[in-house]
Amino acid sequence: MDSKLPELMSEYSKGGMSRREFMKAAGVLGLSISGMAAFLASCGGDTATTTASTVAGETTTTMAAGAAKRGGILVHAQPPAQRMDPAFFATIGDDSLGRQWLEQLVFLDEDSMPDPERSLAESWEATPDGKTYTFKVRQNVTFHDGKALTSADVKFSFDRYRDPEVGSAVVGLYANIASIETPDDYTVVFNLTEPNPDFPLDLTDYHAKIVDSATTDFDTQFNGTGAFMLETFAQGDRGILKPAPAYWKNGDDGQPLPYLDGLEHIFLEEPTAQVDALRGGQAHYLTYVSAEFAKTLADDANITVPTKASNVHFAFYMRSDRGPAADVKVRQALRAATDRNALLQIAAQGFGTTGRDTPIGPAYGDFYLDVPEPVRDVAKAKSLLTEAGYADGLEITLTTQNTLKVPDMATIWKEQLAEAGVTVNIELVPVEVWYGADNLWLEADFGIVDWAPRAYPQPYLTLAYVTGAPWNSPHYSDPELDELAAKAGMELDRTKRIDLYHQIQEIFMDRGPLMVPYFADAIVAFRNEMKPGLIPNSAPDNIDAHDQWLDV
Amino acid sequence: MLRYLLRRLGLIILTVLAASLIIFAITQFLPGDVARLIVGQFATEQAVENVRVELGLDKPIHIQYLNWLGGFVTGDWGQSLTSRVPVRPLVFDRLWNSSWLAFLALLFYVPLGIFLGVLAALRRDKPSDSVITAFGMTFAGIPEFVTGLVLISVFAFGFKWLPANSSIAPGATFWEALPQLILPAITVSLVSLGYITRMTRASTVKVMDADYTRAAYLKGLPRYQVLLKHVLRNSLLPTVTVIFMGIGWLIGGLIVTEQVFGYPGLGRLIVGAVQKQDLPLIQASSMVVVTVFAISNLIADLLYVVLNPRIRLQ
Repeated sequence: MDSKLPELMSEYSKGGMSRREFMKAAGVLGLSISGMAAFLASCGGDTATTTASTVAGETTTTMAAGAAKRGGILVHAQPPAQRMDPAFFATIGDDSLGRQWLEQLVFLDEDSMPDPERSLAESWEATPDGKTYTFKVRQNVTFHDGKALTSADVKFSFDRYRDPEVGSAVVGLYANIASIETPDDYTVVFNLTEPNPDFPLDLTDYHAKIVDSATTDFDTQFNGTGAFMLETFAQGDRGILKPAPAYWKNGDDGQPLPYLDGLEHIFLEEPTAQVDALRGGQAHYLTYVSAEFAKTLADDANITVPTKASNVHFAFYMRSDRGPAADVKVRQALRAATDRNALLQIAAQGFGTTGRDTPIGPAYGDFYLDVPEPVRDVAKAKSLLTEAGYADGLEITLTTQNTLKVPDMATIWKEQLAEAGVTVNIELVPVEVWYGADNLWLEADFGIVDWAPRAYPQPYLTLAYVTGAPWNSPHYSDPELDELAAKAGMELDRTKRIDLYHQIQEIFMDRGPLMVPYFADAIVAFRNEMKPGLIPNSAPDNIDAHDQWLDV
Repeated sequence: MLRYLLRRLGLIILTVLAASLIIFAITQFLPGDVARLIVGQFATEQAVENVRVELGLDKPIHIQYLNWLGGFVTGDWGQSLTSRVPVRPLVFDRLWNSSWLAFLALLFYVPLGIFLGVLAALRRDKPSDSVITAFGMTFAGIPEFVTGLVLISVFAFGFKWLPANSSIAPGATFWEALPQLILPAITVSLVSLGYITRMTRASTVKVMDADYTRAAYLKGLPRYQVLLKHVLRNSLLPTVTVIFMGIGWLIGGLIVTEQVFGYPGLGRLIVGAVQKQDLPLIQASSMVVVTVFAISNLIADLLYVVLNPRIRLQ
């Protein structure tokens, strides 16, 4: 792993990959945005495919009827937070707690679009070449100790995140920043080396919290600008937060937010314990609910379970540089023999959308090429295999991680392929080995890799599918794809970009190295006394409690 | 008596020392480089090297062991690699919580187990004996996550008498925490109850068949006096040992129960530390559990002496 470090860092261009754990990764970056940024709002947003819905089929957004009440302690049951230094946030648990007391320069909203109203930057603009971004910092913001937020804190924060000596996971993500300038107390200018139409989205990465430049120990000094201040962080147990003395936003009653008297984030590593705490009323909300619990929770009259499309997916990859799948006909045959919906129903209880064998899912709106779901065709698979010289059958080894739903999915796929005359030998390895020092996930001929959501499609291509990409498990190399991906990464015109992504998806569907059974939904759950309640985005990391209240 | 005590004490210290050696050795074999774990995956090699020197990881292994042991004895337990906060208060908070749960569980299952065991022995081979035995075996055999979830369903979701989640707040008093302690304590008790009952029954049966018991009856002592003065005094000896052996498990081993209820005990802390490869935390909390084991065994030995004059005379 270490030998690959410099490479990974430089190629880590769009953030951390989902590796160690699905859940960990699911929190990592990001969210299904199809847009560029709010500053390009004139291009039009996309909200079409990401509307919230409930499991029960009712509308989700039970917005508060009547005035918000003040008081009460809101309790969130979550996986344990580990560290409070945002540079070293590593899990969804860290972020869930961190975002209550720290804020972002750019906030990502429920539709996965930057929302200046909720950001520490009140506005921003880019030069036409996409290489210089100027942010106006909000003027009435103070840290919890009373110090006013200025551009110096913003510069300090990002200089820290991009400093290799500090060693944050986002060093690679911000490697494109050439310099950060602060012309005055409330203006920050980011100069980029290469054009990056997605830069404001990169600033929504969950590490990129704005910290006080006077902080000396980030693990013990908790001075943020959030609506709550972190009073106690008890490792493996809980975080306790109190209202900030002078938060910059007012509630409906004209008084400063938050409405609540405090927050308590209790750490429960067992999903069952989280679900029991919610049902028993000891917790008010959960994020990242596993699909197997969603129906039980939705059946509870006191609990609402909103869901939203996300780009979380399992990529069944087929090595395209050696072995049987080097022949495109074999790849097409294995895809033709697959029943994607069966995999979705069994592995995710139907909470998701079937895949089209590309890494770009419906959560990306316009960028997604919406074609009908591929129909399973065993006869076609057999004839393709015959053409490829496997008339008497084909035997392959599917190596993958023994975690999550992966073994289940591997078994179902094995049964499906058997009907087309393909014998699948499943080889399960522990997740530490799969993503471990020997990088089995980059070696095996056939494997299943889990991917976290990203704010926009580009990282999947640059990290995994262009020639020589560091996480290119299938060792795929397609000059046409490389060229299209390079263009899409720098294209500032949204219409042209949509067209480029569509062409890329056609390549994946025609001759690509993947079978993608489904894109999983993001699922959250909350008790109905919590108002206005939760509206998730595609990775429910927009959830902070600054405007929540308890109707009791 | 004093010599006996000193000998036991010396043995305990040796045991803890041996355990410390094993704990240190095992943590050396865990995968991953501690310095790399501390600075993170994305730090430079120089940063890793600096930490290695700072922590003395570049020194020979026996020096590292002595440094660590010295630190543990003098109260310097290091910093958690996960959260970068000192380990000692973390472990003591959890030890305290675990003691509450252990205390309550003992309060439930020890008297009840002894009572049922003696009752079964007195009603030997009668239907009530069979019922008690079957009851004990059944609960001892059901995993804690099953009994735990059933108890939650019935008493938290059904009757709504008790909370489903037991993540007690820091600083809560025992009485404030009590409602949240009851279900986990019952869960733990159900596992141990059968064991204590069986132990007590077996030894009581044995003592009741002994000549001196018959002699006591024959000299005309009332039944309850025979039971209290002659039978229980002897038959509880093995039970006492088992009870104190169980304390170490109650303090450090209730992993499943603590996870089902979200109880902030020592068991969950250790499992979390192992998963995160948090070496200082693994080492310190394991040492604490070993020490608890050692002390409770010592107490068991001493009680044995008090209850059994034969040992005293040796």
